[in-house]
Amino acid sequence: MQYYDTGFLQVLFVLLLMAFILFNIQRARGGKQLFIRRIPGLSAIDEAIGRSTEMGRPVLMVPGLSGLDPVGIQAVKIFGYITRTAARFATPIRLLLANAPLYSVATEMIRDVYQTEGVPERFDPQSVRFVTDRQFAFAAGVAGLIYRERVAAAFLMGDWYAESLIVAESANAVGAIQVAASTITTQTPFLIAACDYVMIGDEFYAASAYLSREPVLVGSLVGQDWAKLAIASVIVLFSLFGSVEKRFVQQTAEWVQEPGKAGEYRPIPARMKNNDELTPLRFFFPRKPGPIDPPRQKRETAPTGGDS
Amino acid sequence: MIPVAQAAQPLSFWQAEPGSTRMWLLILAAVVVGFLVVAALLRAPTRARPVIVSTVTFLGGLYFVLHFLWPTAQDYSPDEVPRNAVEGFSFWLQGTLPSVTAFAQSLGAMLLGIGIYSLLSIHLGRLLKRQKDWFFSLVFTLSMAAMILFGYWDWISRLTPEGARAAAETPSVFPHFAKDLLFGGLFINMDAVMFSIIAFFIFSAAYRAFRIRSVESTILLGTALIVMLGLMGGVVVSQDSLLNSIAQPGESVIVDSLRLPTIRSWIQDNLQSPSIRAMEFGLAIGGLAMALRLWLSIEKGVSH
Repeated sequence: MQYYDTGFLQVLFVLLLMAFILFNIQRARGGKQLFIRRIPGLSAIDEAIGRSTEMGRPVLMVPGLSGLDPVGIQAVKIFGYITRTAARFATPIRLLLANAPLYSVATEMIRDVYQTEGVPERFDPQSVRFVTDRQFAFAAGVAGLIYRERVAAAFLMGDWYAESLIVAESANAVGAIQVAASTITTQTPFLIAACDYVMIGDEFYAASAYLSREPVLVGSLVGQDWAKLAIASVIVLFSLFGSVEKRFVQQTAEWVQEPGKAGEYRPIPARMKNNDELTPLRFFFPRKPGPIDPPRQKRETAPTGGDS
Repeated sequence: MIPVAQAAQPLSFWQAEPGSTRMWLLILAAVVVGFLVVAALLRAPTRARPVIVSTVTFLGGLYFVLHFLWPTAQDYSPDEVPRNAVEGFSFWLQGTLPSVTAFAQSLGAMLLGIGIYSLLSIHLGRLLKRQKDWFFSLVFTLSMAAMILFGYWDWISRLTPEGARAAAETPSVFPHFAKDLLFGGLFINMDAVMFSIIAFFIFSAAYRAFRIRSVESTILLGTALIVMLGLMGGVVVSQDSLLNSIAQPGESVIVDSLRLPTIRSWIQDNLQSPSIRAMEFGLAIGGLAMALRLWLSIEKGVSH
């Protein structure tokens, strides 16, 4: 059959990474003590909330433009842990969102935190706000609130794009302690330049495990480390393998794929392999010579199910 | 580009002609069904709710996992007969995707209503109580009302082919003009202003970041300086003319290695790119783990 990707190894590899995560979750659930290193940005949470409490100013939490997806949920979970501390000290919070579905979920999660802490009366429904889903209108709205309410601490975590610096610099201008984490790597340098503490890369995903020490999250985090180790091993091994192959093995056939015809290897004079001919790459993207499939038959009538 | 009504397409049960009575009935039905589902969930026994949510989440996730992993035919067309069961399932997955995503969009639209309610409750409350900065709330409320009014007026008038043609030929007619003035004339320009402000923020942030405070910030300063100088044409030409007096390009490896574009490329290719890729690997794995926990409903709330 004619399919874009005939390789199954990449799917198996992803399944292997998933297995690492699930296996470690099970290990942690079984009582195995797993280690998490210290993350300075998260250690600063108490300091930032303490400062807000002393100054009587709100703690600002913004998940950037995150939607109702793993990034948005992770950001709101971290904000939930921050809110828990803020709730104990009656420190006002402001959680501003750019996504209506995430706003709905965040409202319930934050309300739940206040109830669990035994202070449901301290929950202000207006402390969790949907601002707008337009990027720069959102930035303007958040910056406006920062200046009006002069927040003492700002937690900027999630999908941040070009609006990151507007918000971070506004918070810096009012003297707020800032802890940031962006899943968009191009924004990380801006946040490093503007914020006091920045969680880099997957430290963002490690935060909830670090804060809660919940076995499921800690196990998942260790599984993630195993997965990264597996990826690094594959890169190193395949780089070495490819280098040796390029130096010592010559290419004697060339892949030819003409439009409408099956691809095939044709003999050529021996030469050095190109990068896309190296075996490690072809492990993941195999080329299978074979007969081309015949054209499909047409239906006699238009299908009634499914959309066009 | 002015949106115009599309020509008639082959329709399924879930689709309707733009502007037709059936389209409005389907929208109404979606709203009614949405509220009924919410009401049914609220009346469901407390113990049953997590089970319902977990099951729906798992099935929804399973659909998209299969859609991603299942072999996809290159030249899929809904009027063709699949050659075998693998292709048949692939056709089904591809054919049902618009309907499944439409359900997600309907849910998102309902939740947007909650978002708008949040905005109005904050700003109308501030207006009615004449609290601090009530004037901004007034501006916001009027702007939102005007944008909704003229936006929908314009959209509805373009739904039929005749309306779309009229809007394209005479854009200065009232509802189209008002919407274009509000959106293209005001909103987009204000958006651009906010974007432009970033230049000033970059300047102030860079000033703070590029001060020598520690070993790390000094390394950052030095590296950034080389990369920036390597991108400045005047500096590169001046340095090239200086180094060319010592050795022409290609004559000396040492001199060539001292050229700013070479150093810049080395920094970007060997330090910057691998670092960013390493971060992206970590983020991708983190996202995978989070998605897995959500899909299998093993992610707990904050209060658990």
